[in-house]
Amino acid sequence: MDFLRSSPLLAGLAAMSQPELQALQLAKIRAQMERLWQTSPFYRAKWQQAGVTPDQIRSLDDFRKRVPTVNKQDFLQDQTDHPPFGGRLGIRREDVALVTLTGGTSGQGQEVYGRSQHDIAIQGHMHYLPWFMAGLRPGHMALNCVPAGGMTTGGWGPAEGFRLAGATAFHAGGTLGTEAKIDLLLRFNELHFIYASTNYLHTLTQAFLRRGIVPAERFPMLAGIQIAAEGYPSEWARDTQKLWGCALHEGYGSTQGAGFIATTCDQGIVREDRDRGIMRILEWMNYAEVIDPDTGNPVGPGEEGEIVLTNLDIEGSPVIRFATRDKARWFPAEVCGGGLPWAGIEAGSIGRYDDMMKVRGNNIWPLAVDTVVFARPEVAEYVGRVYVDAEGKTEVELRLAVKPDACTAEARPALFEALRETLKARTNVWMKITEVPLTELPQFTYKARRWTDERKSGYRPGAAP
Amino acid sequence: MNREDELALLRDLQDRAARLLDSRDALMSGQYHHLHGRITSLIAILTSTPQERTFLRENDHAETDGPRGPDHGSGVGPG
Repeated sequence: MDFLRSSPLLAGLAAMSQPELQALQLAKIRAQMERLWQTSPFYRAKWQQAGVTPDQIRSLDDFRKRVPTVNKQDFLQDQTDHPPFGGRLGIRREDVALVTLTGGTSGQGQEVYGRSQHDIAIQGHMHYLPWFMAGLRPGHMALNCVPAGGMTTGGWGPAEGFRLAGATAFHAGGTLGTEAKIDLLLRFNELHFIYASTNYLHTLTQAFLRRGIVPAERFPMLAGIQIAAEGYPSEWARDTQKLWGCALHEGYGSTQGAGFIATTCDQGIVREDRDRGIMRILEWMNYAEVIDPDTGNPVGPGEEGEIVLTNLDIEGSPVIRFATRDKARWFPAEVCGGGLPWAGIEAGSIGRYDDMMKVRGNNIWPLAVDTVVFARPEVAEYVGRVYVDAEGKTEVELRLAVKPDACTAEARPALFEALRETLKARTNVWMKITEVPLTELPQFTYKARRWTDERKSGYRPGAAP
Repeated sequence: MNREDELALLRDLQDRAARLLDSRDALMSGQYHHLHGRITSLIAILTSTPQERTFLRENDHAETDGPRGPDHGSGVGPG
């Protein structure tokens, strides 16, 4: 594997035995718990409630069985009780050098994270690390298609990651349109690496093809492409990889993880030996359990479970056994192949235990949309769908019925525009609203299932726009 | 610690960090360049004042004939 040949550090980590790796994880967990026992009233109270102290954790099994999980609601309550960072901060407020928030699109509230100078560098490393494994090297020309800056980890981590890499990075996401990005790439004539959401890579690919350019022919020096944030059909991955002529890689990350938690190795997401690739958990920096949410027990090989995350190297607002609600299929190291000691989760199929949908990097909860739509008494019912349009762009459509006599025909465009504006403000996504008669919509007697996600069949490999 | 001590310490760190630039670990080499760049930038910032320039001229002839700060003569710099 090239990344092992290029990095003695990674080669050393890859050569660790399972007991050595577990001992490292346990030592880091113990250090985190001992520090937080002294510095975090939130975690101390949680652990006291569970009757556990850091010195009682003598194995990873102790940690799994005795330390309680925490969740989003716990964090939001903590922030309400101890604003703005909550008692979980774990460092001095004066040492917070970067504030990041979760998207706030759940309708429940935004988690606040205070990161130290140390954390900013770790966050950058935890973005660079998977890209390095995917082929990015110092001096490479790199295109960052993810909007930089703002309040999210996804806005700052990549910029810091490319800076630490020593790459010549173009942070074009959110700044240049797709055609302008292509013009830029053609002007510089050299491209080694791309970081983009799944959906955006599809958009970029289709835009190149519309110009009659096959990216693999134009940029034969490409070393790798890393995608994140959305699932995809494996046929799409195979076809897209062919068009670009380099391995496609995928990372799983989150604000709670302060970057990437798992990533594909040099094999990428397209593998000859299996339908979907495997993302290796970066186990020396994260302790990621995959558990049955009903029993709390670790799932078996090939089974799905909830990812429960512990930061091993983050000091500001660290998460200790955070129940992510992310659903993943887990594989032990020996099944993943390549002789590496790191366990893995299946690429391209990360789901949710709740009904959240990822749309262009934004988290959309149906409840948040319900709250906006049904705040207007004129609305009778709606259904929503997420789909890929003919140009390969992910779109959201609400098919919506207005109550008879509740709104004149003249007033309806203003109603729909007001709804669009509010939905954009709450979810960061523009949604298309189509009026339909109420009779065209299903009747929801019990739990409403208003949403369909058509994307997995929506990316059409090689489809002409 | 006074300014001269801080500068001397940074110079020492600069020399030590420069040795990391020869690392054969490609994962770390960009990060070592980043570290070295942080140190040289701090030296540049600290030596931007007229007093520091005087200090440097008086004490550091072997290394520089002028300030070690950024060369604003290139036309690149804050507008």
